Amino acid sequence: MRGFKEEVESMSFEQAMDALGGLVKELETGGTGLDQSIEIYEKAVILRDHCRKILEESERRIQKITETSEGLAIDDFKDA
Amino acid sequence: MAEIITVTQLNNRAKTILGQNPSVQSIWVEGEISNLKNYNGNYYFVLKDADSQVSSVLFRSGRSRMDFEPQDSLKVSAFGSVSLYTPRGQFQFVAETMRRSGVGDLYRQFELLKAKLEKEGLFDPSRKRPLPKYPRRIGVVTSEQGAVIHDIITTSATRFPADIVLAPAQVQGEGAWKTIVHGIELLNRLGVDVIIVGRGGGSIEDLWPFNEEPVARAIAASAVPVVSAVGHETDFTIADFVADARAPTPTGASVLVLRDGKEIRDSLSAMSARVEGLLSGILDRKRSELRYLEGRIGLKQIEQELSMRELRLGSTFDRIRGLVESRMAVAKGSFKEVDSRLSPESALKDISRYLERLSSWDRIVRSQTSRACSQGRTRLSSVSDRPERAVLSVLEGYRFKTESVSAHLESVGPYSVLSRGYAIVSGGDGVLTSVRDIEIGGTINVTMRDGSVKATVQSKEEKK
Repeated sequence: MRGFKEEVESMSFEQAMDALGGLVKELETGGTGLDQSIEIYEKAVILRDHCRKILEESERRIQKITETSEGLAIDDFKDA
Repeated sequence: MAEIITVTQLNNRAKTILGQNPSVQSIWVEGEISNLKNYNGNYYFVLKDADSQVSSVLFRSGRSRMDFEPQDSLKVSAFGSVSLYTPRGQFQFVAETMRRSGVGDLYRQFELLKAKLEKEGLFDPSRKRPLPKYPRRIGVVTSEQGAVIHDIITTSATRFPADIVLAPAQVQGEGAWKTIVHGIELLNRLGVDVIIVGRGGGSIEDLWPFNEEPVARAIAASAVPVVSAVGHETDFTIADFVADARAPTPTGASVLVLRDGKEIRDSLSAMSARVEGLLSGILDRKRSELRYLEGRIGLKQIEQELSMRELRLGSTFDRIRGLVESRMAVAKGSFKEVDSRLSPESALKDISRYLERLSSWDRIVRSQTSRACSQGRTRLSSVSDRPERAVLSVLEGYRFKTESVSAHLESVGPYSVLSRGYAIVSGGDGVLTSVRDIEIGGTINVTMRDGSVKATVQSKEEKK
């Protein structure tokens, strides 16, 4: 489960949501044993927490891109 | 006499006169372009109105000063001077730059470009790319000062958290299209998940940069999906047709590009709840499966079964013991008839040995049975899959053992000796063990498995 947690850490929100959807489908299809079902549940909790973390803790950056003689320049943009 | 000059001289003089007359130099001429041809970036065309026409040329250097592409049927104001092309003696207008004239012509131009791009397939629904579900970074091409970027930033605050990168562009006036094209290209180079191109409402002239062909082409060439958000809902620009999605307003664009935060949280919660619900459903099913198994082959039932079998085992032993004892009694009765020399002690010893053996078998079988019972219980508590089978097979084993013990006991009993063909010979004084005690003509009793006979001795022979 620790390996899975590390794997999830590097997932994008969309990947995690897709993975979560996949687990739901797997459970819905049925035929999973008790141990496997509990494992799926544990994975789902990890994915859900990861998604929530992205939703709640992401810092939105507002930037401005311009092209200078030295290439692309990215600066913070202050909305007036 | 008037002087005679060459054709070249004539044309040169005419050219000079035209070049010196300010009324035909550096003037604006209005007309419609026709018969347009492009050679090496130089445009050759005829400028005409209802009654007249003039051959015209626009050199490549002049094109770079313009913000539109010359097209047939386009009504323009061309700035330039009249000249004469001496090799052909052709009167012509050399344009330095041109601008479109009249708003009505803008609509026409719009229709022309729209028809052209549509024919190329740039508006095909099949070209439209889906917008990313959860973009991490969105690009915005618009004015740095306008309300558009402000609206987008404000709206996005309650939506899926994505970085916003603004590529500042001029959104109206001459040359604005260049900055828009540049912005789209910059964001593509930087790498964003989706681009919003837009500006607020305005007149058709204000929105015009979004009707420029290069802008349409830049949108089509973008590696990531582009959402157009130009003007108000009723305003349509070429950019809207080419874009992968059209938003009615800039605020609408951020709504389109970034999902609602609450909606996402809700769907996340719904998915988690679904997983929990499914799991508890599975647990419930397993629990009731367990209850069903317990009900069918529950501990109580197994215990009952075990004690019933113990009881049956006990009664079997009692029966065996009774059988043996009663046969022993018969044997004892018989022994009373046998010779006193046949030591009754040894027979009694035999009997007590049998009884001892019998009770030790009894003990062994009882202890094995109770061990089997407790093993059965242990096994029952550890097995989850059809435990009754295991327990029943253990019980079956002990039943078999019990039966074989009973058979064995019978085989070693004293009467089985008679059934094997031996006989007890007795005379008047009891059991006879020597021929010397028998007289010829005398009477003896022969006890066999199923009864006895009285016999008269005819002869005898003693072993030496």
